[in-house]
Amino acid sequence: MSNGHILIIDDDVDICTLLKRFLERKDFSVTTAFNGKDGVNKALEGQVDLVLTDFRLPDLDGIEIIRGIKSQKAALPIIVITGYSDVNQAVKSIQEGAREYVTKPIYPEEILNQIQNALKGKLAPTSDKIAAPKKQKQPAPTNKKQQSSRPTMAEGDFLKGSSSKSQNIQNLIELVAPTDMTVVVIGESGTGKEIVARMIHEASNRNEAPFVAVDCGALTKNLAASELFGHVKGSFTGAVNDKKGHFESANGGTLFLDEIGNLSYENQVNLLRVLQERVIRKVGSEKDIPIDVRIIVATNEDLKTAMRSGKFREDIYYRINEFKITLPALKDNLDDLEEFISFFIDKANAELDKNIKGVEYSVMRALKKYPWPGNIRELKNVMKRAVLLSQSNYIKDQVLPEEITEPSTEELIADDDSLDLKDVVANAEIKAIKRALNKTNNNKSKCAAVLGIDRKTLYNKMNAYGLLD
Amino acid sequence: MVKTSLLIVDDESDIRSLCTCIVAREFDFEIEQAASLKIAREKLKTFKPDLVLLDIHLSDGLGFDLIPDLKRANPDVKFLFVTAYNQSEEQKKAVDLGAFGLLGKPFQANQLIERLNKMQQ
Repeated sequence: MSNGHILIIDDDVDICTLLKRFLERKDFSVTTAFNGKDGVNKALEGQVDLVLTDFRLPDLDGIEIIRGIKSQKAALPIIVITGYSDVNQAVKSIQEGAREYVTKPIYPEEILNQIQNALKGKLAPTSDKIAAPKKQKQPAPTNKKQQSSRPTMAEGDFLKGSSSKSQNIQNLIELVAPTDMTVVVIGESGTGKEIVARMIHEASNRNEAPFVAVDCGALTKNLAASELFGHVKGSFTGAVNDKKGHFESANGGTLFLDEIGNLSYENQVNLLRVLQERVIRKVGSEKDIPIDVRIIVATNEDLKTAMRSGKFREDIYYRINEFKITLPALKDNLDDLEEFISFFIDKANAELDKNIKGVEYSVMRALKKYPWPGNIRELKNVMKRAVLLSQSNYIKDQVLPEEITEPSTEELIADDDSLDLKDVVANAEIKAIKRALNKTNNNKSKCAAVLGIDRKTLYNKMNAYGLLD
Repeated sequence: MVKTSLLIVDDESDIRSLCTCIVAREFDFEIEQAASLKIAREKLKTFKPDLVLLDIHLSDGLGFDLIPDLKRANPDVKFLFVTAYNQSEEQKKAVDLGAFGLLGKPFQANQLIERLNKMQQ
């Protein structure tokens, strides 16, 4: 059975497709419209339970869409997607009768929560209202329960672990920051290389000037030189104006070149020239421009290997390798894991207006066993999601992604080297109960029957292992 | 029956409008707005709010500084800080001052409604 019919109006086809797929997996039926007029028509003609619309569309704006729909279907709930921190759009949307607004960037889980809220209000009006609602243009019933909130991501909070590894990195940053040395930051994806680069910049006397971050892997081969060094008008087809490159933008400050190993051979030569002579030359220009930029580069691979295979120039390597900071992968820095977890829970609590106190014991075990291929970035995302979805004070494993809670068979076998008999029995029981619950669609009576125990025993065990909601 | 009264103190007019239109949709409150501590103090001479939505960083000072005035106007006042900053010291200070809580910006209509419902209980 469908949970309801959602109409999504957005000219961004990717967003429509992403949300459609996501909502369909959650048993909603979904119609999409890529412009305002089509959207309004579909809302008025079809059997729609809720409309999710972008505020800005090529033909109509949010206000026109809300008015168009509300003029004939006053009770149809509308959720508007507004620009980030564009309060004015939110004000207008609510004034015109939108039920709710969500700000970009959009998070499918959050939108799902808002949709469920709005539909609960629509399908089953609550009577627990404390104050009588004032008569407004839009008489849709309201709903009090809400679980979601808007995640805002303030970058730059770097967590300073207390392990010796983290302390050591901190010391290196403080040591090198005040100098003009070129720094190479090495670490797997997600270990926080850019954050370290920013910290160096912030702690240097260049911190009033710009910090410019460039992902060398994202530079297209043809345009890399123009992106880095700029170009003059007419230097190639499409160069209709003079353009400032990243080096010039970072003048006086710090330029962070991420994934330096991806820089083409040709641009490596150009880079070497900047490093040696401290001048840049724009594409299509004959003039050298003096430049004062501190360079920090990052790589997730061993540049020495790239050098041996001829992918990376040796002379550049020695030129840039004035100071090296190596960031540990999260799985090699488990001493800090608990600290990081509580840091991210606190951060997510503040951002999401929640009050999660910690993680359950079994969850901590799972988190410590997981290899964290996405490192700290992945941990941050996992904890934020867990905080958002948690209904109780402590994070349970239901709100963690499956790859963490259900390790592959090899990992399970490896885990079985624990000889504490209580652990062994508990692990085996938890596994069996979970499998049985899955099989029986969470029907406790059937699950108990499958396990060959009575319902009461199942409840007691589930309670003991923190498997009850 | 006397209506519940609400004071909204925020230097951003859009935030004041947003709060006002959400509250007006959901509750039958008497609503007053103030864009600064100065205006708020002026209003408090005649308006004794039951509930207050209070920004922390205002053009002429910190929202915290208004608390004594609010309590003088109505000893039973309940106030909620609405702020874009999520610093733990501020959270602590807000709680120490007896705030009902903090609501982070940007917030959603639902969140504001839920908080106001709880404040009324």
